[in-house]
Amino acid sequence: MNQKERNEDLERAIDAYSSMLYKICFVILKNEQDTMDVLQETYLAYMTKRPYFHSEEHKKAWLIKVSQNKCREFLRFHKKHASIPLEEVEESIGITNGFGIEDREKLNLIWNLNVKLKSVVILYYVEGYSVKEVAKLLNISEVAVKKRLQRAREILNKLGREYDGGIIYE
Amino acid sequence: MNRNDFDQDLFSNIEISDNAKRNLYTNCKRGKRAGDLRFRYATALTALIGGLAFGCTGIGTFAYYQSVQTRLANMSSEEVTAYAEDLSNDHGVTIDESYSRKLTNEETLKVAELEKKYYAENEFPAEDVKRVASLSDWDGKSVCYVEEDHKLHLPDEMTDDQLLAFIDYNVKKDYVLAQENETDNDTASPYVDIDAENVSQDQLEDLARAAIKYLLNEDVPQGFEANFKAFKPSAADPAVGTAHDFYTVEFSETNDSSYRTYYYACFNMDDLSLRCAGVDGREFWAKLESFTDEEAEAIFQANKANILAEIKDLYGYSNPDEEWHEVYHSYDDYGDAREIHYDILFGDIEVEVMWEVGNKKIYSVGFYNINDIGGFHDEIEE
Repeated sequence: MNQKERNEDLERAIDAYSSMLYKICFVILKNEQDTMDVLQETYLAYMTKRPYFHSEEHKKAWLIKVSQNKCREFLRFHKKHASIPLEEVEESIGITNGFGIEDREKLNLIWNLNVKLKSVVILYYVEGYSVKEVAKLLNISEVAVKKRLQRAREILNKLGREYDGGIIYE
Repeated sequence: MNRNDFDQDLFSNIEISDNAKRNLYTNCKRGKRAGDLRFRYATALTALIGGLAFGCTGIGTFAYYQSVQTRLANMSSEEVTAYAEDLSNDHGVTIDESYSRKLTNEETLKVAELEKKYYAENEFPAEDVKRVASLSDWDGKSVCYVEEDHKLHLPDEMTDDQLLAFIDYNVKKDYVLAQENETDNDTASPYVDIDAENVSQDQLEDLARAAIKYLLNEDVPQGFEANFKAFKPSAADPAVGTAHDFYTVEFSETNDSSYRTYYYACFNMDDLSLRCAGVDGREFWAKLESFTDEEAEAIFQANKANILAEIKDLYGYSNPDEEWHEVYHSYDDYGDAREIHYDILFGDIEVEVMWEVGNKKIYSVGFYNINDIGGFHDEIEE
């Protein structure tokens, strides 16, 4: 791959997967700029380390895995400051634009789940990975994934009950 | 568990902006790490795991640094397992979620001071952090990890040795995390041993000091020592090309504090031409005057001609073809503008400037050939 092809490959990878990675990392890190730092580190690793991918799915999974690792590193270092409350992020980047009060409150419940549960929830429910795939991406057992999903469902069921339709539909 | 029973619309508005995508693309092509862009992302992990990539000035300093490395590498397998377990249970985002209480301001300053001694003088704690199964087992006087709630519990008042134990606990945990991630990523590091390159550290240090003085009109302060990095992705894969290969010389009082002020200069590997220079760091940022976005924008507009004149005077570039700027914030301070990020295109050369609003001064500058790193704020095709 020459320089031009590599730049095009990088551009395609950003175009294809940055939205997904942004969503996953943002929900975990609860902070727009920290999320961008993690994406920067993830794509820089993609560009400089040049892993071999045997399929597009493999590439996607690699990017998710690296970004999850970067999130972990980030959380280790950034316990030094408090994260931005959802209300402030709402104002700055409008993640609840068009939402009613109930939807805002529902998002806040997910926002405040602990990181372990959120990672599993977003990979399984939003990105559509199977339990087995989530286990591989997060380096944990399938049993652990199921336990976390179950725990998240219990919490969201309980807390979301007072809202119309809940968060987890019964 | 049916994934269709989840209200996925709640995530529908969490979208990366086109501008953020563009920045991601341009910065990756420049080989910039997040820590190079902002000071938020600590470089301590890189220092710990990639020791060879860092030079250390002085045999004594290197010996102390090596001693920390040895201490980490010599952890027993039980200890490593325990830290790995802590990490897998460490799900807090904020300090409140991981420690029983925040450090006081006095403790934070003391930790910063002791961290320097930890790394530079190998002042280690007499005892490790204690571990107990449940909160009822904690005596309330020791620094103690409680497995029941996965938190580090801190007594109301901590001695220096307890603060050192707190530092040691975190350093070891970060080390284990870095090891785990390195194994996971299983790909070559883009950093290489600077000794293998065709330039001496003394030569690089002289160049860096001169470049910083030329830009800031001030010397690197006394007590700030030089560290060297050689970022060379082309070593692992020649197809990357050499446009991303560069040396970084960073001057700071300590490598390992994420709060440090640091002066830096980067040089392209092929001809040692200046790639960027400046000063940055949380401590540095904290001393800058804060403005609203509107105030910062107005001050910038009133001074834009002066900035361009200064760039012409310092580096000879004039008659810009294109320009772009943004009001610049710290990581969690919306509305707290202190710098302007200003990019100007002169022919094939893009000049990137960080201009401080309060002092009306250029604090960092970078030069990039758009033929090597791509177009000026390239559009990402949707």
